[in-house]
Amino acid sequence: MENQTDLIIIGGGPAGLAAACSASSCGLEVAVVDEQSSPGGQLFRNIETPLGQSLLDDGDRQRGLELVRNFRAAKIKYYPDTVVWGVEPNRVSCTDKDGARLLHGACVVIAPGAMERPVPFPGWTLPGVITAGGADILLRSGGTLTRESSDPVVLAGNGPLLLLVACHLLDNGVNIAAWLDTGCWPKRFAGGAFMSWSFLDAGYMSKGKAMAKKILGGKIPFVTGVKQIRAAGDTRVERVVYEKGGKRHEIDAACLLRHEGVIPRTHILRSMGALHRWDKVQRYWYPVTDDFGATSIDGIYLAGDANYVHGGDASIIKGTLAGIDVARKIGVITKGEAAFRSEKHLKQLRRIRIARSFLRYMFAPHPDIFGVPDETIVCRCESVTAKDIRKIAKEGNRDVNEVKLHTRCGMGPCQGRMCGTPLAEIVAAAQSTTPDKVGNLHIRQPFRPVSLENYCRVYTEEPADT
Amino acid sequence: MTRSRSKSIPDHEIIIVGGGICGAAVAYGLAARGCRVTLIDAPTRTNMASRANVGLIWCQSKFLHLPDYARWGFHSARLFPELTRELQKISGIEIPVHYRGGIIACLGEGEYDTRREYIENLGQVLDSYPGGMISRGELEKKLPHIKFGKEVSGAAWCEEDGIIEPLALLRAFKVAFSKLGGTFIETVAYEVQPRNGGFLVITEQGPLNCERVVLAAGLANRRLARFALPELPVYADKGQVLLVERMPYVMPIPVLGVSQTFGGTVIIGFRHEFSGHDTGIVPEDVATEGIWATRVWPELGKKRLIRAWSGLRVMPEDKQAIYSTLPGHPRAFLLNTHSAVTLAAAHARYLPDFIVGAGLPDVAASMTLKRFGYDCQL
Amino acid sequence: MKNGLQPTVTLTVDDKEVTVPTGISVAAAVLGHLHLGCTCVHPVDKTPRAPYCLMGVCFECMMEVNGEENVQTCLVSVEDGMVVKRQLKVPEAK
Repeated sequence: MENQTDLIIIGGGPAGLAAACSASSCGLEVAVVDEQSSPGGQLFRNIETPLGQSLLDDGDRQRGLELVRNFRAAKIKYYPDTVVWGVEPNRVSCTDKDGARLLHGACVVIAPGAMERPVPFPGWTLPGVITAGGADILLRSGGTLTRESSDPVVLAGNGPLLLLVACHLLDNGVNIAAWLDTGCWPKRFAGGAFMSWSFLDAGYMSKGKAMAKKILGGKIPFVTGVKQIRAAGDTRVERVVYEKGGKRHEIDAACLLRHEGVIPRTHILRSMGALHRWDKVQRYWYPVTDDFGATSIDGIYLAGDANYVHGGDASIIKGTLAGIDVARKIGVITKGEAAFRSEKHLKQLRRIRIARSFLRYMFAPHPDIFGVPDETIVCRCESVTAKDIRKIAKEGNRDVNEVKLHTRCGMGPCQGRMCGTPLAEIVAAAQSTTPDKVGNLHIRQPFRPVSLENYCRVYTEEPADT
Repeated sequence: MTRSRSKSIPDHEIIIVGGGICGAAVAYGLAARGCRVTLIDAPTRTNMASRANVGLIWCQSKFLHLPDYARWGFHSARLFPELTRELQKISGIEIPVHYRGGIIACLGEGEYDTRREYIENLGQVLDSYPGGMISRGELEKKLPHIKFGKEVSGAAWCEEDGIIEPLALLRAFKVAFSKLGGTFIETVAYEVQPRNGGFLVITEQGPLNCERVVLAAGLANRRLARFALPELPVYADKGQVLLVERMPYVMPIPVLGVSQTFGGTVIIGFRHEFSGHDTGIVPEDVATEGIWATRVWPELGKKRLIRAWSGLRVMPEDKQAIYSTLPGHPRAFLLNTHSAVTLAAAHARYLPDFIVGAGLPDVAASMTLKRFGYDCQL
Repeated sequence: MKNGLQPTVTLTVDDKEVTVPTGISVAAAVLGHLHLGCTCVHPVDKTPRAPYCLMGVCFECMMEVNGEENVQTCLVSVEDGMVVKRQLKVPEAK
């Protein structure tokens, strides 16, 4: 059959590409489905163009180029510009420009990567407010955040991406008016205790140091202990208002970037009912997998930051391991060969995990960031406010799914991708408990919109033999 | 629980197990009569019928074989305007609702004729029937902003049908219940045990005792009623539906199987499957529903499907509601219906009297467990 | 164009022609190159919205692309001759 293969990989980022290359080098037939028009994912976006390369440091650029070269060289079926909206064991449903199609495979590796933790605040729906990652994508698309480079840009939040974006903005001569830090200092000190392990990963640390040096040199006004951030403006952001030490401050801004760390993208696996675990420091759910990325569902693997956020180079290793284990599971290589092929990668991954354990604390989200004012829109799709959620939670509804039914929070097209995290935090706070105790939004397939006719056609027509 | 307990005075006068639309309607009605009621509810994955509902108030073209049940539905529909007015006033919650009739679209002449025959027979059995068949032209006048597919030959029409926002109705019942002094506990009921003439309801949060217990837990009644009933003839009837993205609001009169919600999204679905408690979505199944819907309303084809889900209806074996005491336990009540929305107004009005001992209204008097061969006191 | 080596494409956004690098998304072109700010008006609360995440999560970048409404434009790459319209009006109930 035309659309039958050994392994279908969802996502063409570092993990997906690495999984494809390693599975292919074990002799498997592989297909990669990706939303972007060229391989690379978020980290190596557009890496085959000068623009995409320009903002990467040397190490990342080399790693990315090598990965993409290997991917292009291997005989891998590649479906770019393709949106996946359904995954079942052995079957992936997706749409490209020509319509919907079904792909069949013995195993599936899901590698959707990570996303920025969605943290609502008043005014966050105003044009001009974007995530730090979103800002970086604009820069890497050859664009700018504001019309004029002298227009003030404000950074706010806590997390590794802010460092990276700040460097890129400085490189582009952007006027950074302030950096409003919302980090949790007690946890940062706790993170310091783990930092001694970071010698295991010297390359990564020197990258961090270089960024820090550049930022200090850039003389950005750095404000710590910031609370209650809000974006103000009429039809777009004009000012950022915040509290520090009980006092209200205000600063002009043409663009506000908010970043509160990175969390795994779990939508696909949650729609399939895979087992997840709660990280109480990073306050996120992550899928339970073995070292190779095998999930609780037979034949379904997870690779990359969607498993647990360790960063791009770790994603390449995780992808590689998943590809090897799929080859073992299908029976193309023996257990012994799989162990031989994976030994070095497993060691490297363990090293990185230990070395980066301090990051878990260093960039832990401050629990206060979800203590947003009542008028804050939490669910962007359905315009549901924190007040709506708190009211229903106080009527005795303890499960987020009950709150969702009565507020519509999470019922829109994004299916809770944006509001699921804050919904759980706000409901938990209203019940004086933690988010892991208030349930998890039920995610349904199709997990991305698909036209009704495409959906119906793909499941009712006989597969075309071409 | 720190309250001191005496054997003769139970903590709760009436406990209702199950806070779906049925349980909440009865809880509200009892609280409005001044009873001391505790409602407990925590839906499990297979007990979400009230939460996976379109919200049709639907009387037409059904129950030819059960004329009393058909009459009971019509009677409830007529009580609805008063109920929603009262509920909105007490709860302060706005309940979107239309009492403008309902439509069953027919594809081709064959469907039209079959439907006409059924409705004629139903009209004869019921003496009076507030509806009938309408031509395609009349259908287009009723819903002028929908371009029906070319196969649509006409429709069945009934002026007493309607559509309500089911989650608003459910919430209004619960909030009004609380405002009238009722107690709501979100917890799972494990088991009911007869105790000292009353009942002990074992829950996740500990045991609760009461004088009267009302089982309104849908499919969970099968296990909760086990202390009195070896077998409850109620089955899971799976429906799988598709949800289409928000569109301008054009359907104030609902079309069965492809209804626009008050928010503008469209719910497609009409399947009935008896497959145990399976709640999986089978894309091949829902796709057939989607194809039917685009034959009725072709514009939907280009619209985006935003999710599919399934729900388990609570279906008594003979499709008729069960309102009954349990055999040997005149103060334990069992309520089971698959039309909890349509019947909500009748439930809120009449079932509280039944639970405090006044019996059922004549039209519903035959709906006890007696019809399944159980000996139960009215 | 800052980078001479980068190939470009030309598309139309709200009747205005614009040339941008290949391989970028429609949302990035409208936000980062044209600086049009608002890309759609929210169907529920009618407030102006714009792409927030640019990576397929937030569904705030919905625009009309080549006649198709509500396209998640951060997941669509720019193409020569593409016609994009911002969704600045909410379709009213009839």
